[in-house]
Amino acid sequence: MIRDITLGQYYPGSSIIHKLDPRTKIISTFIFIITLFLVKDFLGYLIATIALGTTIIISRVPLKFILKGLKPIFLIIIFTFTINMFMTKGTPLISLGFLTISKEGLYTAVFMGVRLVLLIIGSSLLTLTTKPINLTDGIEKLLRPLRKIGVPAHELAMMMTIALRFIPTLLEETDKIMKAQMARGADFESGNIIKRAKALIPLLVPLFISAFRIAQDLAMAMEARCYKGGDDRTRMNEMKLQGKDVAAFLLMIVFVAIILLQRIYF
Amino acid sequence: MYLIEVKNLTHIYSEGMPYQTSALTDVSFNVKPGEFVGIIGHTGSGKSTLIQHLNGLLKPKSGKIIIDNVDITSKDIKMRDIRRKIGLVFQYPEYQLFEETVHKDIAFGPLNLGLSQEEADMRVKEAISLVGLDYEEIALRSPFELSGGQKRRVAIAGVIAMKPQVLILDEPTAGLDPKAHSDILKMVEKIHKTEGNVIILVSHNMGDIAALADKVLVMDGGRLALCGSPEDVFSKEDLLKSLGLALPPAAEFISKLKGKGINISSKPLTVEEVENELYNILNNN
Amino acid sequence: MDNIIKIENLIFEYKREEDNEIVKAVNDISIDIERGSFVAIIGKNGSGKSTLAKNLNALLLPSGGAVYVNGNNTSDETKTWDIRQSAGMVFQNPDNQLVSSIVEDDVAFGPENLGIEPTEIRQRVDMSLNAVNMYEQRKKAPHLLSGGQKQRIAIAGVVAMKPQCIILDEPTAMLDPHGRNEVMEIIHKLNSEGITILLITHFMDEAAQADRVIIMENGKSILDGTPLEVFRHVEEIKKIGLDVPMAVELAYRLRKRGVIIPDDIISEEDLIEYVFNRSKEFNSYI
Repeated sequence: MIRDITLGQYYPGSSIIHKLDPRTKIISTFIFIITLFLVKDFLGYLIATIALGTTIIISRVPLKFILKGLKPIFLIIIFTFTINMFMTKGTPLISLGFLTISKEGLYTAVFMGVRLVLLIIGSSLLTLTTKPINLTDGIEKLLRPLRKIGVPAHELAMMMTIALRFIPTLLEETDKIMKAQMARGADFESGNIIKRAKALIPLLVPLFISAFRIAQDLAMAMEARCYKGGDDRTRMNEMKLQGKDVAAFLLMIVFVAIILLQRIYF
Repeated sequence: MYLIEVKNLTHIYSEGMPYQTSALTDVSFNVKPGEFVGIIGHTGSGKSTLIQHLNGLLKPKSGKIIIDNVDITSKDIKMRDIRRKIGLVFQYPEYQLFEETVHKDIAFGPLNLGLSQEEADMRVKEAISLVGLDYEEIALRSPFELSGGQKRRVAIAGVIAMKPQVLILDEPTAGLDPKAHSDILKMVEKIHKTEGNVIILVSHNMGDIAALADKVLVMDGGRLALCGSPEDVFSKEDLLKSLGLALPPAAEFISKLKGKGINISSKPLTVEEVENELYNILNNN
Repeated sequence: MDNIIKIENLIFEYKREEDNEIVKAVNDISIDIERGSFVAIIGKNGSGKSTLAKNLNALLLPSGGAVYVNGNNTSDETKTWDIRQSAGMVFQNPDNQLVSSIVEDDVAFGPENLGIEPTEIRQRVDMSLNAVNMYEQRKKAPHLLSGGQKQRIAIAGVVAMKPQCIILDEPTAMLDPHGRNEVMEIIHKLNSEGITILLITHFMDEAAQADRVIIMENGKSILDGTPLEVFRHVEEIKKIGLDVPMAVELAYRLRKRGVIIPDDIISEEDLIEYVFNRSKEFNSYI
């Protein structure tokens, strides 16, 4: 069933990580990702893994839940791993016909693989502990200074807010239309690609019409509620950086420093 | 002989369906050929799950649905054979229109059944006249430029054109003004008479159910709470109210009169019947 | 008399798509709405009632005549936001008018647009959610709520803007009977707190609950008065394809059969009372 698709992958909780300002989490995630590219050996990864692991434990998001999120990108990881393994030249370890696995290749493959996994887990921790709507607010606030150079920060955030609100509605609509057409004998499941693509017309046309109707209704409702763009608009939940956010930033600095020191001295 | 036999139908929504709580528990009932069945129950009582089973859109966990001696729950049944027997008109059916012309849209179902173009064309003509529209005037127009009421008729015609033995309508009058509401109901009655098919009408409007149905099913929490003639069902005022359901306005009115100590022996369900009752009371000097 | 809305010879024209003909959706209507009153507007689909409603808070602007809200002309662009703040609007489709995926954020949307201080927005949001009995659900996502609940959130979103008047355009048309009752209850409550209510509906029992009923047909107001005055015109109302409340219908039919029924029967309670008293008379005869 189409409604089974879970959206975003927010894992509800009340840990200190959940309660951090979304801006803190967005910036920290960026720093973490950049730092990963500064790591030169596995000792560095060990430090990063410990840091990430500690954060996960504090966030109380079950590891199983996080790993489940890795599933869809598993193929990409395997792909990168394989490419690196076969394409890096060096001392041959094993030869499979024209394919050769070199010692350096294996090393690079594992090295890149670990980086990718840490990167994905790190960024998914952001979405797992931050409600999509708060993420949107955070992005809006962070992008606001860029308005001077023409980045439509408020508009982007409003678009994301509306998308979050209406994706479930549209999925429900899709489900309804699909069932209605199936009741009229539509077949969405059998036949070759062309036949299947054609079978989608009775679904897509009504869906587009619905989407336009929703857009029209919503625009009218927003105008009626005095919406006039982002200027002079206040927010009920003004984001304020708190003590815990400062602490988080300090920890991030310590983390980056350790990684840098390790890179230089060990 | 029954046309529809539903036996111990049970359905459990697969886990991971966090927003849907209603399922079906041990639902059994029969429908005779030509009967007009009304289904009532508050939102989330399992009405829509039930009708989706009758149409084969959902498969039961256990239990059987036998329609015209064919078990539609069996594994090797073809969907096409179910659609031939049962037509389902969803709520706000006008939102499923998609073709360039009214004619093409109505022909969609018949063509999916594997009928020839000629046959389908015939069916379209018939269906358009059954829903009370003018073929010449409307067939080649885009369904999207019609009025709300017309769109709904066209959408219903799209199902009628499949000539189902059982026609299920889920809230066919939702959102319509009083005139369009009564027009659609008259249309449903006309279809019932001309086609001689079974009609299953899901509605929140108790007055409509009382006036039209031969048999009423009352759903509550996924169970069939009551089943019987409108007279039987609507005489159980306390039970219905405990299920969050109202009486037909006419019956409600009579119930209040009785509450005042006025002696009324008959059980009026329609405004006409109440009128006659009041006439007798006020004229008995 | 203090009128919150003054409609003077309002005409609204638009170009019909099919034949490019100019159509008058609202054709010369003059109505004053008294502050604090509860007015129901009924009419068939296409009678112009929705167009009229959208003219009352500058979502549409008159082609002729004028509309004043709180003394402000809706055609005066500098007053648009004042007008929309004082005459809030609730629409038919409960799904398509909520903006945020969290109930309380949605209610805050209007006040945020008005540029109100965050602490005050918080107070208004809590107050509005309590007013529609939805405070408990403030953290939920709208798509998990019932139609009636969604519609109450939409009402809360308007209430949070502290309007003097709320225009509801068929707010119950897509709801089940339970949701309809919930919404009507809230409407009465808000009206009793002094908010002017303009309810557009095609349910006659809802219209009968108003202080004043206006019936529209072909862009004109054809009947206007208390429910008692309006529903007296049973034949006229039926001719244009509308219903009357059941008690009115019964009284009308019985009168046609020669039974004497007083003129002032509108509600079922009235009719029951009358029948009860008459039957007592008979019994005392016997």
